[in-house]
Amino acid sequence: MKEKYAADNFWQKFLDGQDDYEAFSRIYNLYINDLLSYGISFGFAEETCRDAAHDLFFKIYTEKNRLSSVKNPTSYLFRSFRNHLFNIQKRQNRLSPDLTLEKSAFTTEITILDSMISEEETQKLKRIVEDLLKELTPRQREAIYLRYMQEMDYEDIAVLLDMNVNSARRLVSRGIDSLRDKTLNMGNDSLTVLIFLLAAYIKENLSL
Amino acid sequence: MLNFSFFDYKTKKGLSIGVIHFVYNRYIMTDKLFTYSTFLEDKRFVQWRLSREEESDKYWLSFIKENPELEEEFNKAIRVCDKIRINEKIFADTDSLYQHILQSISTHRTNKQKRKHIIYYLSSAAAVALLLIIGTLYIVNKNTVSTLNEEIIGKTLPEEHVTLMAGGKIITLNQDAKVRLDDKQMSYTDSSNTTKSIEVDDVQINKLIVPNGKRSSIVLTDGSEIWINSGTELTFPSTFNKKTREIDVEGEIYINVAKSNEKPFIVHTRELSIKVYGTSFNVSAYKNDNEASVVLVSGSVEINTHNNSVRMLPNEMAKLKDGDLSKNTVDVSLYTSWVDGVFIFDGTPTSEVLKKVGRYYNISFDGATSLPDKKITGKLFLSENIDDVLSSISLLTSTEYKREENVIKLLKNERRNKPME
Repeated sequence: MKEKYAADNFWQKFLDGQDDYEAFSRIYNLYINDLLSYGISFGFAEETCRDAAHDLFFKIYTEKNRLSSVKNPTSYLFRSFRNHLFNIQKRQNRLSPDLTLEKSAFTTEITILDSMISEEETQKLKRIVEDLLKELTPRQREAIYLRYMQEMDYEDIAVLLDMNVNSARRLVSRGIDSLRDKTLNMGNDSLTVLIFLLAAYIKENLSL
Repeated sequence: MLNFSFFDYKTKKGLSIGVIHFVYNRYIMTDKLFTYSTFLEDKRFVQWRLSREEESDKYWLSFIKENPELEEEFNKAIRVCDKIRINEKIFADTDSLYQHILQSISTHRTNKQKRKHIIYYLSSAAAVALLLIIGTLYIVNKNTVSTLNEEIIGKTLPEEHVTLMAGGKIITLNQDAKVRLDDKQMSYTDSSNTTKSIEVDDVQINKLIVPNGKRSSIVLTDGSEIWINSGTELTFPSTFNKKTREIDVEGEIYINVAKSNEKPFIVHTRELSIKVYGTSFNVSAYKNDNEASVVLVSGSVEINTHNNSVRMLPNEMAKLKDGDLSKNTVDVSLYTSWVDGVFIFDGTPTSEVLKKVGRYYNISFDGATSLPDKKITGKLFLSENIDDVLSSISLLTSTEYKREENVIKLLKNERRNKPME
C-alpha cells in the first residue's frame, strides 16, 4: 500500500524546491517499482517500461514548473506513465493499429505477506484471490489494482481509464455483481435453500 | 432470534427476488465452527476486502454488529486480507536507471546553458544580480621577464571523499553533497546518490570533512546555509544551545546566517571568532595559509582575536596576518565567486592562483615557487573538466600545458622583454 502521506510531502517539497534532487530521488524510489510492474502487467517488456520510466521522470524534473497544479502524485505518475507506454507502443505498432487499450491485457500476480496463518491457508487464499480476479475483465482488474494497491480515488481511476466516475465505480463493483449470480457461500444448509424458495414465493405472490 | 438482511438482485430471468439471508443465532451455529478461515474461504468477503465497495461495507458492518461474538475472528480475517499484494515486485538496477535519468537531465541543462552563455549570481541578502561572462580572460602583463624554459610539475593527488561524521557514524558523501539538519534528523545524499537520513542526538557534535577537490553545502537547523570549499573541516552541533549558535571552521566557507535577534551566530576559526546576527560572509582560514580573512557581503559582524576586536561593514575585508588584524574595503566578488564555480583574480600572484586551483581540483603544483610571480587578472570558470581549467591556466600564466595521467606539466615559454603598454 502506498505511503501516501510521505509521497504527498516529498512531491510538494520537490515542486517548491529549487534543485531538490533529494525530494526527486525519494519520489523516484517510492514509485519506480510499482510503475515498472504496472507497465509489465499490460504485457510490455521490462526494457520498454524502463524507457518509459526514464522519459517520465526526465520530463517531471525538467518541466517541474508545469506541475504546480498537480496535488496528487500517484494518479499523475500512473496516468503519465501509462500514456508514455502506449505512445511507445503506438510508435512500434504503426502497422497494427488495432491493438487498442480496450484489448490489452492486465495480468495480476498475487503475493501474500508473511502472516499469522499456515502455509496451506495462505495458498488457499491466494487461489481464491486469483480465481476472483480471473473472472474479471482486464479493465476491471486494473481498476481493482489501482484502488487496492495504489489507493486511488474513483475520480482518479475514472480519468486514468478514460471514463466517467460512475462507470469507474461500476467497474470495480461489477466484480461483485458477477459473483452475486453464484450462491452465497455461507451456510450451505438445506434449510437456507428452503427459506430462499419460500421467500421467493412470498415475494412474488404477496408483493413484499 | 433471527436476523434479516435484504439483497435485491436481478436473476437471469429478469425477476426481482428478495433474498432473505438468515443468520442463525448462537444455538444453531455451534455445529458449524466459525473461524477466520470461514471468512477467508468466502469469496464475497475476499472480494469486499479487495474492492471496499460502499454497499459491501454496509453489509459486513451490519453483519458483525448482529454477530458480535464473531468480531475477533472477523478482524483476524481482515488483518490477513490486508497482507494481500497485487503485482508487488522489486526490480534490480533501479539505481542505474536513476543515474541514467540524472545523466539525461544534466545533458539537457548543459545544452540549455551553452545556448545562454550567462551565469546569474545572486547575493543572498540583497538580491543583486551580477552578470558574468564565461570564458573571457583578461590578461594584463605587468611584469614580463625573459626566462629560460622552466617546468612546473603538478600532480593530481589520490581522491578522497567528502566525509560526514554524525550520529556516531562515519558516512561517505557524494561530490557536491547537500546536508540538511532538521529536528533530530540529518539528511544527506550518499555516494550511491540515494538520499538517506539518520537520527542525531541533541548533544552530539558533528563534522563535515571536505577534502581538496570537493565541495559541499549544508543547511543548519536554524536555516543558515553554508557552502564549504575544498580542503575544509566544519564542526557543528545537531541543535544549538539556548544562548548562541556556534560552529567551528578550518578552511573556507561562505555562510548565509539566518536572522535571529536573540541568538547570535559565532564562527570560530583557530585564531578568530566572528560574531553575527544575520548576514552573509566569507571566511577563509586555511591551516597552511599564513593569514586568515573574513569578507562581509551584507549585514554586520564583529571579529574577535585573543587581543583585538573589530566591527565590520559590508564590502569590507578583515585580515589577520602575523597576529595583526587589519581592515580594508574590497570587491567582495573576488572572494565569494567560488560559491558559483568561478575564480576571479585581480593582480593575484601566480603562486596564489595555482594554490587555489590546486585545492579546488586536488592537484599539487611543485616548482610553482620557481616562477617569477606574474600578477594575474581574470575570471576562471571552474569547469568539471580538469583539462579545460588547465588550458585556461596555461593561457593565464603563459605556459604550455601537458597532462600525462595524473602528472601535469606547465612548460614556461621563452619571452623577450616587452615594455609595458
